[in-house]
Amino acid sequence: MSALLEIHDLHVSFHTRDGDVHAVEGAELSVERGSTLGVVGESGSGKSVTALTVMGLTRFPNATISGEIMFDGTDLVKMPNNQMLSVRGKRIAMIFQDPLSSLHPLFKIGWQIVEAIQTHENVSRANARKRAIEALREVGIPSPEKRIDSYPHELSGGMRQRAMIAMALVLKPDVLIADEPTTALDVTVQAQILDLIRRLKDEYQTAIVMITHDLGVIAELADEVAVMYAGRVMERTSRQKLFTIPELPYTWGLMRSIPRLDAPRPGRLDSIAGLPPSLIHLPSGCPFHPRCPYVMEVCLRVEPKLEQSEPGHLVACHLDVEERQRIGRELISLRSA
Amino acid sequence: MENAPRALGPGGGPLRALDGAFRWLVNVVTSSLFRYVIRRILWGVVLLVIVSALTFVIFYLFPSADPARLRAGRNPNPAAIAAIRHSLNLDKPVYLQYYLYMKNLVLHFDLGFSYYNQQAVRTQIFQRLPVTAELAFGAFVLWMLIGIPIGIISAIRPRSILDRMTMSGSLVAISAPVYWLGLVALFLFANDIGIIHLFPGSGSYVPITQDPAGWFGSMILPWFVLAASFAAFYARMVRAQVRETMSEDFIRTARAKGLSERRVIFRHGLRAALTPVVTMAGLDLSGLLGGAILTETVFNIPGVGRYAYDAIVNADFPPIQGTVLFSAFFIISANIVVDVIYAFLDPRVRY
Amino acid sequence: MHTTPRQGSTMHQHSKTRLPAPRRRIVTLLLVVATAVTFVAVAGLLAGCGSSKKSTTTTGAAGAVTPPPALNTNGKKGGSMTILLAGDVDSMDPGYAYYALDYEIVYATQRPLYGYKANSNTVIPDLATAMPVVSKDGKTVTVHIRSGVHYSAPVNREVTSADVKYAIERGFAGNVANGYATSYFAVLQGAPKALSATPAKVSIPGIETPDKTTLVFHLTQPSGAFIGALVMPLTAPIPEEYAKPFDAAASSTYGQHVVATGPYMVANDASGNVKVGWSPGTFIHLVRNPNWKASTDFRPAYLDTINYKEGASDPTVMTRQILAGSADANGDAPPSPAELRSILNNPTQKKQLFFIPVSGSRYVALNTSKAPFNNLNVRRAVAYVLDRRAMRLTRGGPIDGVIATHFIDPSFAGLGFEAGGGYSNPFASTNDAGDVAKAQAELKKAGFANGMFKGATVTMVSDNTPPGSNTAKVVAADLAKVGFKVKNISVLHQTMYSKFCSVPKNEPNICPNVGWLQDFKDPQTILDVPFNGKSIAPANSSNWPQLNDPKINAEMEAAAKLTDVKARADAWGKIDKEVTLTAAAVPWVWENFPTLFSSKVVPQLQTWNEGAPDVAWISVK
Repeated sequence: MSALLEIHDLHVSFHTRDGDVHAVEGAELSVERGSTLGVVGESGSGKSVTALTVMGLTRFPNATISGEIMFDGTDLVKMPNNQMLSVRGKRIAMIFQDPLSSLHPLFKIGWQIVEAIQTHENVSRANARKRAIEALREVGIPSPEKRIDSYPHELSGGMRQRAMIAMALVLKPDVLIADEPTTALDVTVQAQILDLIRRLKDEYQTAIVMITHDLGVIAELADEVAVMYAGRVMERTSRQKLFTIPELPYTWGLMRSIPRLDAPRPGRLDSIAGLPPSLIHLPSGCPFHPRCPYVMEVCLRVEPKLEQSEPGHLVACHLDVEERQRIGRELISLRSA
Repeated sequence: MENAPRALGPGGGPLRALDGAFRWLVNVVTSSLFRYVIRRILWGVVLLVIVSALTFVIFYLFPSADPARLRAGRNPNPAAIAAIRHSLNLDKPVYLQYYLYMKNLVLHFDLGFSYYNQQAVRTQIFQRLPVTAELAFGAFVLWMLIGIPIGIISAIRPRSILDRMTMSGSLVAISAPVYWLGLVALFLFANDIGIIHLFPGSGSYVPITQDPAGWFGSMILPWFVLAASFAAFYARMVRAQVRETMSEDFIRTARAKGLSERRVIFRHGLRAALTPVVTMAGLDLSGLLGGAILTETVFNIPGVGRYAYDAIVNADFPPIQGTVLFSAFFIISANIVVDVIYAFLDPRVRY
Repeated sequence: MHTTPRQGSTMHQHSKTRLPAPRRRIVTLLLVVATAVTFVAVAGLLAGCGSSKKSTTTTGAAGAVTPPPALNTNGKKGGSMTILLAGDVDSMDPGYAYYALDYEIVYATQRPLYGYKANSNTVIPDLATAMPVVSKDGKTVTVHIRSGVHYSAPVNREVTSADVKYAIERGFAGNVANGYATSYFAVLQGAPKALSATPAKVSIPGIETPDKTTLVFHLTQPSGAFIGALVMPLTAPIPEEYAKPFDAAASSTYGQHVVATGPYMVANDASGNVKVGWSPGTFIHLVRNPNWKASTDFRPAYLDTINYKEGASDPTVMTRQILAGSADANGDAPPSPAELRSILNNPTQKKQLFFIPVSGSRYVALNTSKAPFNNLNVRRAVAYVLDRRAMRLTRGGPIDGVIATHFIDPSFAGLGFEAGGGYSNPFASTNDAGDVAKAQAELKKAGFANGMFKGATVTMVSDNTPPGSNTAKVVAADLAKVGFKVKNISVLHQTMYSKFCSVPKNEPNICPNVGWLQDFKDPQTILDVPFNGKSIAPANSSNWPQLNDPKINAEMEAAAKLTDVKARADAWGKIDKEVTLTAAAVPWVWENFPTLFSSKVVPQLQTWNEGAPDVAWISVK
């Protein structure tokens, strides 16, 4: 079955006064209908830019975009702007990190949802309003017929994010891109939102691209995982495989840096040494080489290609496959003990 | 459900309406916004009293003309001067003078008489206020119609040729002194002394009730001159506001919903960007209602500003006090109105 | 490989052609500079435009007075004219009128006992039928008035002699406060010596009205000044029964309800309120007085309406409007010196410009009541050192007028200084630029060893706006040449008088921006009030040097009594000399006032009133 959304060799760079910012350098991703792709990486890894490029929201005068984004048979990279308007919001929806700043502060949430509906469908206001109330009810907002006339700042953080989700899903899009939807929320609310997303995904078979830096979210929700670094996808596999045999030094670093409640208190927290690279002046060869504890001479010269190490597991690393799998397994067993 | 009106039975229509109106009134009076407005009004009155007292004290303390002298001609004698001072209450201690002035003001709305020509200050101000209002409102409409669209276009097309031209042009317009600009306008376009005979020149003002066409023609140059620096300022401000707003997250969400760029800019962007602009414009307009002194002087428009200018030159205190009070009143009121309007425009603002 | 950007995007919003960064900044800078330069150039061009480019040198003889035009006896009837004013009248009440602008209006709308034709300084009968008849002892003056002169609506009735009596009496009331009543009319028998303290009705038994057209004035002593003062607006008739309610107010409001006897009137409403015709600070409308009969008057009154536009505060704009014809004359403010020079260079425009002496002088008053100017030699040093030419330059140079050397100016030809013997300038210097050597010689005589003043800093209070402020600067600089240290306080013109110079207690050592003009063409009006010891008052004193010389005072009292014109000229001319020699006040310019007319009207001037437009004689061409 061909994927619903497939990204091939996507390159996005922005020309600025200080130089060209290479935000995405050859991303390779795919999402199946009804499944969840988790995209994990730190700030500057290119995950948000990739998502925005899918939506067509990076088409600035100073942007250079190349590659392919195949959605249901059409290449979105080449799609003209006016046609993108019927894709955005209707077939691919996106929700963002901070719902307080991402919802318009001066319009009631009901108005904003109605607007989303009426942009894409020719229905009456009364009709759209009814649907909006139902959408709010579905995402678990109590008394939705009252809340519909609330302003965003009158709702709690969790309610706001639910409202945002309602607005995104009211038109039953094929894909929902969620860019760190829980980062700005309390931990308990986080869990509720993730539950909600999972429930809606199950009910409507929406494909979800969940962008996060939090491996815990990945563990909860993702079917497939992609690890991005410096604008590249460097590991792609199923959730299960990632959490049993991770094969990327960067992924190992991510996992090591999560402190464990049951382990004795370490003197210092484990972190990945060094800083994320400048996207203007990228390191030569493998972009992770300045920070990699397993760096080899070849890593400085040659950029590793994303290759299959096992069926359903793609890795971009010069390390020997067996070596990687050994280290990965060891890491997991250490942490599970 | 708690807020449903009680069933009043047949024939309850008008009674129900009255009941509804009463409830609405109670809602309004007990609302926090209403209490806020009342509070602000009371403080405004206090502020006006302070302003009037300050003006009184300043005029009393600093060297200025002796009003009795102004009235007593070139070679008066002490008895006559004393008589005049007595009739003007000037021989009383300053706090008593102030008390008498305020008593007159509050009880009779009497602002006193000019020392210079014995004309009632209140009459003069009320006569001239419409003229100043005409100048102020006309300039207001003009600067909003010019400044805001230019600011929006410049924001949407940053660093284009249009953007650079309007921003540097606006710098010049802001820096140009109003009086200079007025004179240049006259020497260029006045139909008597200008190079191009286009618009009526200085002193051509006629009241609108007397000659609407003549009135309009005489106001064109003053409107443009007065509006110039405001338009420039607002263009720059709107540009900055719009650019800042367009980089907000909710704009990104609007685009992600699939809205056309036009709708994103004009419905989502401007609504957020222009809210502070509206309130600022209200304050600027109210400041002008106190009299655009320089514009009124160079174009010889008989407004409150001109009145204040003449009074200052003649060291004529009652009109100065009167115009200062009026100006303060407008600014204070506008501040209150603008804050209330802002509460309606931005639901996040709570009082 | 991955560092080079990939080409190949087909997005239609792909990058526009753009200059690289440093070039863009230069372009912005150039744009800003170009706009600024354009604006500056425009301003310069416009300021130069309109005036002739050849106007760099001063032209015309120094302070040349223009011969007044011929009397307009055959003008076209009808039409209107616009006169531009920078200021406003204080009041329309003829009993209050005191300044040149007030007279401009009053003499077109009221009929005092005597008046003037246009372009002439000769007094002729107006309301009176003939020149006054003076008894041999000089103490009785009889004047007959015309019949058939009526007030304008709403009074309408015929003028009687009782109206003139009332007019003079009310001038002494505190709530009317005429400025010269006590100077010239106090000699009437029974007249109060000072303005009354309350607005009580003043009664002067010395004014007798034996019948409706006769006035007999009984004086306590002969007074030539009284006879001359009969031309003043105080003698214009006022209807008592109509004016009484207004004159009962704490400050008389008659000025807002004034009725006219002259050919024109301030437009009023049915109740007599002139707010229709006078909007203070905005305009004055004069319209024909329907009750005026040309047969009773020497004035032709050609124009139908005269419109005074107030608030013309920019002299350049005002001048150009007159030249362009959108206005017809300047009523109270002069054109700027630059514009004057350019007009003088233009043969057509020159014909529309008239310089008329203001009849009086500007002088620097030295406070004789305290050191150091209580010393004659120190004062003479100041009179020597002042550079009058530079001071005149602050007011425009030779265009402004003639350097003054005494007080009764040349417009009093035959009536003043020369008649009293005259003499050459006692404080002459080369080019009137001041003589430091002679000043130092005087200081040596005063006891300053090396001819440089040593002592406390002298105080000065001056105008805070040009040209007065500039004149004061010149005075301070000149004084510094002989060692004076001057501390100057700059204040508003009104404040300078009312808080400092006219209040002897507060008066500084020097008041450099004062002057005195005639009230009418009699030399007493130039010298008496400003230099008579009895004029010194605790407030509103006009004797700024506080000169109180018993000999001079006595001479003035004696000269005031003379009624023969020649004798008066002689006596006052001598007094002028003496006052000048005291150097208590140093005169420096006899100014001419420039009046500019548009080419649309026939110019006619009140030469007796600083050359103001005489609207009762002007006609449209």
